[in-house]
Amino acid sequence: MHALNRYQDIVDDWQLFMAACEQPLPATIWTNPLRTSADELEGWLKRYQLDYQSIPYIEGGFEFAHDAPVGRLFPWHAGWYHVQEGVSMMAAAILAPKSGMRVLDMCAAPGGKTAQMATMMAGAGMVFANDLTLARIKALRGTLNRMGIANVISTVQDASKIADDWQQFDAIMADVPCSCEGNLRRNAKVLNKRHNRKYLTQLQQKILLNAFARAKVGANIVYSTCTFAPEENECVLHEVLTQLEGKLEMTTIDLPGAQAQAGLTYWQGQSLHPDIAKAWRIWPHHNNSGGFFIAKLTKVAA
Amino acid sequence: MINWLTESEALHYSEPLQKRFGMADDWLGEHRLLRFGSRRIYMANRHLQLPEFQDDTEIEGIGISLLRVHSQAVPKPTFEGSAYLLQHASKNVLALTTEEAELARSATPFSLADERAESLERGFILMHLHGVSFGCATFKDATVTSYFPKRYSHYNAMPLT
Repeated sequence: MHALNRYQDIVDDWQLFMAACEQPLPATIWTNPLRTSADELEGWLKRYQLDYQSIPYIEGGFEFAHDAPVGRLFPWHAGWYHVQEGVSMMAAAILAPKSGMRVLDMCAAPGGKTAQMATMMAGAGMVFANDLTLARIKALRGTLNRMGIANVISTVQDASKIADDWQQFDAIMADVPCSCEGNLRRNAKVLNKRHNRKYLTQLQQKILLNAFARAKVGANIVYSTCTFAPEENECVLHEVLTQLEGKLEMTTIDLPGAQAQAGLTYWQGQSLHPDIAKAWRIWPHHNNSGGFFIAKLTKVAA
Repeated sequence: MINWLTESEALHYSEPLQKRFGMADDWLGEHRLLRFGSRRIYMANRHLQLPEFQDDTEIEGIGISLLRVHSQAVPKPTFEGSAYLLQHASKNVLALTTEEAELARSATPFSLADERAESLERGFILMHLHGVSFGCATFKDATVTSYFPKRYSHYNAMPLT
C-alpha cells in the first residue's frame, strides 16, 4: 500500500481512504430495462434471500456483500441484469446518451459501459463499441447477446487511430487504458505492477484528442480512468484543453446520490487548467467502491 | 461479411416463427434480420448504418444472435433469441415449475400431464420460470427436451428457489 503514499496530500480524508482500501469490494449489479424492471428483479433477489441495498446514483442498481454469488444467479444468464463495479457505472450515467443518438465507446471491452449506454438509449440509435483486439471485444459480444442489446456494432481498431470515415458522433465514451490503481480493492497486486507512465499518458492524450476529432460540435465526451494518478487524469486533460485552445470545454457533472472530490488544479508544482475542478476524483471511501476519475467535456467548436 | 436480409429473405425466417409462437405482425419492431457468418441469423436495430471503413477496421459483430439455420421448417431460436421471442410470444410457451426448471437446465427430458401438453404443439417451444427465459426446447409425445446451453452449466450449482 506504500504506493499510495504519494496521494496523501490530495485525498480528502486519508484515514477513511486507507480503511476503505483494506475492505473487499461490494458486488454490484444494474437492471436491464430491455428485459425487466428493478421491482421484478428485486422479487428474484428476495427469492434468493440475498441482502442488498439500492445504489443511490444508479437507477435499478443494487449492492451486495463482496461474496454474494450475483454472477451465478439464474436471471443473470437470461440477461435481466449485469454485474459491474458500481463506480464504473457512473461514467455511462454521466454521459447519459439519449435514444436515437450515434454513440462511440472508444475502448469498450469488457462492455459494461457499452451495454449500459445501449439500454439507456432504449435500444434505439446506435453504439459503436470499439476495442484494440478481437479477443477483448468477443467478451463484449457475449454480454450484448445475453442482454438482448441489438443496437451495437462492435469493431476492432486502435482508439487513437479511428479515422474520418467513421463519421461524427453525438456522444463519446473515452474510458482509456490506465495503470488501474483504483482496482486495488479487487486486486491489491495492481499497485505492484510497473507501468510506462509516459507511454500511457501519451496514449491517453491521443485518444482524447481523437475523441474530440470524432465528436460533433455540441457533443459530450466522457474521459475516465480507474486510476488515482493525476498524470493520467488531470494532467492529460490539461494538455488536451491547452492544445485545443477553447474548442473543448469542461462541463459540470450532475449525478445525484454520488460522492466525489473536485479534480485537482495543481500537481507537483504545476498549475493546471482551472476548469479541471469540474472533473470528479472518486476515492474508494466516497461511495464504498473502487477508485475512478471522470471528466465530462463538450466540444464547442470544430 | 454482414448481409442485411431482403424483405422476402427475412420473411423466410420470421413468418414460421410468427406462426409458431403466435406473435403480432410487427414482432420484429424496430429490428431487421441479417446474416453474419453462415449458420446464424442476427437481429439488429433497423436504423444501424455501417460507415464504409477505409482503414483496417474489423467488424466483430452486430446485433444479437437470434436463430440457428437448420433444415427444419421452423428455425431454431438461440438461447439469447428465445429471451427476445418470449417477450412477444402468445403460444407454445411453457411456464416451468421449479422442479421442471431443474430438469430443463440439466437437459434431462421430462413429461407433461395431459392438460398442459394439450396447450403445446409438436416442435420448438419457449420456456420460462416466473417470467425469466429458460431458452427453447423441443416438445414431442408429451415430452420436453431442453436445449439449455452447456456454457451455463456451472449455474447448475445454484438452486432455482
